[in-house]
Amino acid sequence: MNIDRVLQSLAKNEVDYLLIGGVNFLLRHAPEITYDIDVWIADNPKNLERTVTFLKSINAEWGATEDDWKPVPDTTTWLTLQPVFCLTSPIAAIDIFREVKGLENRYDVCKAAAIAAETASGVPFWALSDQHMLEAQLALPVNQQKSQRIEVLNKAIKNASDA
Amino acid sequence: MQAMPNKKEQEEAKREKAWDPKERWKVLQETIAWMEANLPPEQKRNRPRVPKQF
Repeated sequence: MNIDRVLQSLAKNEVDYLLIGGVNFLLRHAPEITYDIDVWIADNPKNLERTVTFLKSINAEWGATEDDWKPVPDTTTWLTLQPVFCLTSPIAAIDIFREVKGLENRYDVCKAAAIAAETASGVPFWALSDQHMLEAQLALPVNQQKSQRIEVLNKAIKNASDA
Repeated sequence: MQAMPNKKEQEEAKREKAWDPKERWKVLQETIAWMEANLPPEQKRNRPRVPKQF
């Protein structure tokens, strides 16, 4: 299915990434309405090249403006211009983050704490840990925070520490 | 670089305008189906409500 194919393509192209956002929360905790897949990538030249290869493999499109929407370029320059990109593809809407609010400059720490998980179809993926998901939520303005997600994450972290 | 929440909102708005409506509909249907398939059994919408022996 579509998000499985995105995760498979990330692995096939050896992208250094973490699954974050609603899909990560849904896969590891509870239902949540979301329609895109949020991917945090390691921000280094080699990984940006791999990310471009991955995006091209799923026919992703992006534009600096909506009138300039087109298949992603072959080079990585465009990926260095902003911290986040919202792309389309025939299989899923994808958000690529080079930075995550609340977790700035901590990709390596977050990757070291990441969870190796699987989707229902058995597709493996790297998931941002509960603690770091919570920190990212709490770094958002209050009106953008998801209270259900914060409550569930707090419970999961407490249960893990009690166990 | 710009502050992320604002930039993310701008990017999402741009994507909505640029996305072909037919492709958007198809992708969203597939995403909803994938999410349903990835819910724990007790949270699926179309789960059996009656024990099998009845």
